[in-house]
Amino acid sequence: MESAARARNAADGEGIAVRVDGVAKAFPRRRSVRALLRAPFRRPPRVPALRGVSLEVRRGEILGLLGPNGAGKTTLLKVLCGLVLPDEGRAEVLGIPAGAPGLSRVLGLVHGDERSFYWRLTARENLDFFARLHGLTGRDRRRRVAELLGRVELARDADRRFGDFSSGMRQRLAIARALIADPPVLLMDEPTRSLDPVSAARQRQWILEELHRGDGRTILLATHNLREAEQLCHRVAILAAGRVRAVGTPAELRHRGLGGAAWRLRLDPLPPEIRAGRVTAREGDAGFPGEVVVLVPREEDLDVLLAEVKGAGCRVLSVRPEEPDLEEVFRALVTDGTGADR
Amino acid sequence: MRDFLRIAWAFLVRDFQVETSYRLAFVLQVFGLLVSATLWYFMARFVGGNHPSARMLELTGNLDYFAYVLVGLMVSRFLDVSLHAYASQIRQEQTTGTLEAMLVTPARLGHVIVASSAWAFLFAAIQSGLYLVFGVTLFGLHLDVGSVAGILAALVLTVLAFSGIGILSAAFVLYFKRGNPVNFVISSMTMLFGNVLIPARSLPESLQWISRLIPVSYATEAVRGALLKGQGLREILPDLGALAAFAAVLVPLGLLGARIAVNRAKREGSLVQY
Repeated sequence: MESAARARNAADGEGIAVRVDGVAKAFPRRRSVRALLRAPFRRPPRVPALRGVSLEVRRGEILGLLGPNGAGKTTLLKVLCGLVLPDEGRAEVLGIPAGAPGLSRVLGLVHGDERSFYWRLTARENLDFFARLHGLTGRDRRRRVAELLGRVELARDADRRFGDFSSGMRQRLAIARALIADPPVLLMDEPTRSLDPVSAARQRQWILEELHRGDGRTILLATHNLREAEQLCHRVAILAAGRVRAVGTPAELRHRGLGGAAWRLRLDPLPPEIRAGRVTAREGDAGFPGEVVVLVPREEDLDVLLAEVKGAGCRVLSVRPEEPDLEEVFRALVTDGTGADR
Repeated sequence: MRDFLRIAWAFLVRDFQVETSYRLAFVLQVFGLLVSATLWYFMARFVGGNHPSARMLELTGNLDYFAYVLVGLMVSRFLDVSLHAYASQIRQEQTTGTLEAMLVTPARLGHVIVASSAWAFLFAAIQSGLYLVFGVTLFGLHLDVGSVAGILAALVLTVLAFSGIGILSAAFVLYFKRGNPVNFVISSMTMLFGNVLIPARSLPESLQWISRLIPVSYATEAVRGALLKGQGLREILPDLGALAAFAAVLVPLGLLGARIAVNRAKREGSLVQY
């Protein structure tokens, strides 16, 4: 426990907790019986899951790994845990290479899969088993298990069977298990999957207040939920088809993803054409009559646009910055504009 | 070794907790053993009557058929567990998603594979003991114990020899997601040639040599000698030596195969898929 706390507090000079450098991974595609009979010794074709992924998670940061299903999020988490060996590149947590002995002391994995417990055993028995695998013994183990059950607010239900738990309770027990060794870095794979909106919001709040602000843990959180990424994460890495499309704060990504800043203009009359910026919404979908939403690559381009509008004989009634919808940004970053994955 | 024992204890506690949550199943298993012992008692009476023929006594080494077959069944319980428990435990952990959770702890995969079967071995020992208790108390089995150490050594060496194949089978499961089909062949060959239910000497002469390639045939002979015929350690030493030789070859082979399979499974991402 002490070593983990020391590792959390110590600075490694660069302040990087998780480093992924050019990680590529492809999995063999399952072949049909016919294909196997035709060419039994031919190597099966491989499907790329990660294509040269590089990213860094700073100490004490929550980084969201945001991507659609099949983007490679879970594969990347498994590479970091050493459960999958990368074909190329390297990954390390607090300087310890993925898969090396000692990694489990600095890294905890919160499984999204709520089946990963023994359903006939109680919460306490489940946690006790994993605590034994972590090398905890006797009174220390019992104390740690009781402490963790209290932390995740399961103390009163500690002696109920896991199978009788709600989804929210199961997720909290998964968090408790990941905290057994008190690791400074947590990997969370969709921690609010299968929770109702109220429980999900409560869970997010708990993660933010307890694990992040309270403990100061570094968290890499895989999710396909935009709201979750926005509420929890300092920075978000958008992963699609095995590639990192963009990394930045949610605010940065909003502008970068759309290729500029959006402005809502109220004009009288509305000109038939605006050449200096890309119109993303017109009267009707934009809101009030005479309103238009225009995207300009740089701030100074707004002056050019306004001059053009005035030159066309229109009066500018109001100019407001428009906060782009993150969902729109996400769609723009993971697709090529035609809706197909990039 | 200390790490391994700690992990094995963790699995024993866990499986005891799981098993005691299925109390009726436990009672039914004990009842099943009683039925099995009863079946073989009447089978023995049917085959040999109360007075076995000289030919049968010659083939079984002066044992009545019930005593002969009961020891065969006891040893075969350990054989079954050694061959199948590792693979079935790992498969179960894979499908329930708990294997992944175990592999992110400091516990080594090799330790997890072996230790996860600790309960199965303990249960096999309980089952074998119950066979013996039923045999002695209900069916008049006469014991003439020559060497308890010899019996234990024979069982441990049998477990080791077949564990090599069992561990390989678990690795096969990790990689291919299904049981090793060779296990069924080995089980069947063992029942036929391993002096379990029938003496290999009763088979056609042209087939009898196969029994010398099956470790269980040495184990059954050694346990029968030490448990029923009053033979000491020295008398069963040749059988123990043969078992040790099998173990010396099969255990490293199993561990090597497992290491290769696990590395491949990690590379192909199939370690924790189901």
